[in-house]
Amino acid sequence: MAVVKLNDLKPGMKLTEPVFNINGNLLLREGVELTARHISILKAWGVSQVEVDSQEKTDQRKPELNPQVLCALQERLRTKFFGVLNNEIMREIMRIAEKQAIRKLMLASTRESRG
Amino acid sequence: MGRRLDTVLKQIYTLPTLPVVLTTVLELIRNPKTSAADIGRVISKDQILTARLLKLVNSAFYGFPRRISTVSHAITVIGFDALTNLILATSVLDIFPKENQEGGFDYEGFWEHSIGTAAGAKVIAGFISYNGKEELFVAGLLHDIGKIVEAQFMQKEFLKVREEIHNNAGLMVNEEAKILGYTHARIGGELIDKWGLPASLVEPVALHHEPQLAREFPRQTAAVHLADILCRAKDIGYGGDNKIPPLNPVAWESLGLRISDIEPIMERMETEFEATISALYPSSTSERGTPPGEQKWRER
Repeated sequence: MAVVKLNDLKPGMKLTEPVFNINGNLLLREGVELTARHISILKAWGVSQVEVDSQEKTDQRKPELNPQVLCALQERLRTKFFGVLNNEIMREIMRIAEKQAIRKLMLASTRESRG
Repeated sequence: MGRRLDTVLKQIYTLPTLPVVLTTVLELIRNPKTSAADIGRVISKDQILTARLLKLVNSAFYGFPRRISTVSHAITVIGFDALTNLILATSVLDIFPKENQEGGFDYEGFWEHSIGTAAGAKVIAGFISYNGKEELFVAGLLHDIGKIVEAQFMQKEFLKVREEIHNNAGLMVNEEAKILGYTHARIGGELIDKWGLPASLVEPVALHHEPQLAREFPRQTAAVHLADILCRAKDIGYGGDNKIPPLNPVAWESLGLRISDIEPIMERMETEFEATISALYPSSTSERGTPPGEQKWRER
């Protein structure tokens, strides 16, 4: 079992304790497998942390981007920025472009794997 | 090679003109005696425009807490200039093609690039505390309008330009300079000047690839120049080539931004782009197939 802050909750984690709102009404029962909708309900009620199965939690490792996809992205950016990187600002723009593109690709792939 | 710019410009007279309601509003605004009610009356006659305008004002573009339901209320909240620029933005999208034709110019990608650059220019306005974010938005939206002129009225030359971009993996502006002797930026500037739009829009459009030449509106020009670069870096839409123009150091200086501003600007651009797409293309998700801002990485 582990106490997890709301921001760290991921769909698929299983509650090991029931969650109540500020008025003491039951929001979610013990054993519920959390969905994105559940998490937003908890957020709406201002719940700050819940107890979930720690096994579930350790399974939520940060997914890595497929190395081939990453390579393709970097290649694409290199071609695009070819000849203009003799400038500190442009190097920074490229660095952030890569960072944000990776984030976007990862988001898309986690969405896909969930169907 | 290619026709002279002045011959080409003569043909610009045959280009679509701005809607009457917009030219009327532009004239009214030039007159210092005009009141918000006068303008409200002119706009309210056009129901479609009124509906769109209110939709835009009530969208995430502004994020006002309360609903604005009349044009004159909108004017008092956002002001004359902002209103004109919003009308301009919605009208421009109407007078040019939006859908791709077989083997032709990628209009969808073009508008996404234009709206992305507009969103970027608007975000930059906030970071440099420039109070004319709608103006910069419109300048961004129009910055590449010269490419449409080329695509529609100079098809042969434009095809050659596109071939050369493909062969050399170059920037459109460089290939244009070689083949035509002038660029889409200059053509765009001439067009919107003929439309009677203010110099604060003409200069940023005409000089977005040579912002160091801007005399009257150097910061606005620099903002559009940077927004174009960031939009391409973020891969929003398609600007006609797969390159990024070099950042002009004079333009960068004139903005007074810090290097640490780049990341939050690029971050904010995305939300802004998505909000604008859903405000300007209300049924974009059903029409375009992919949700706004999630366009796939196209093979180009």
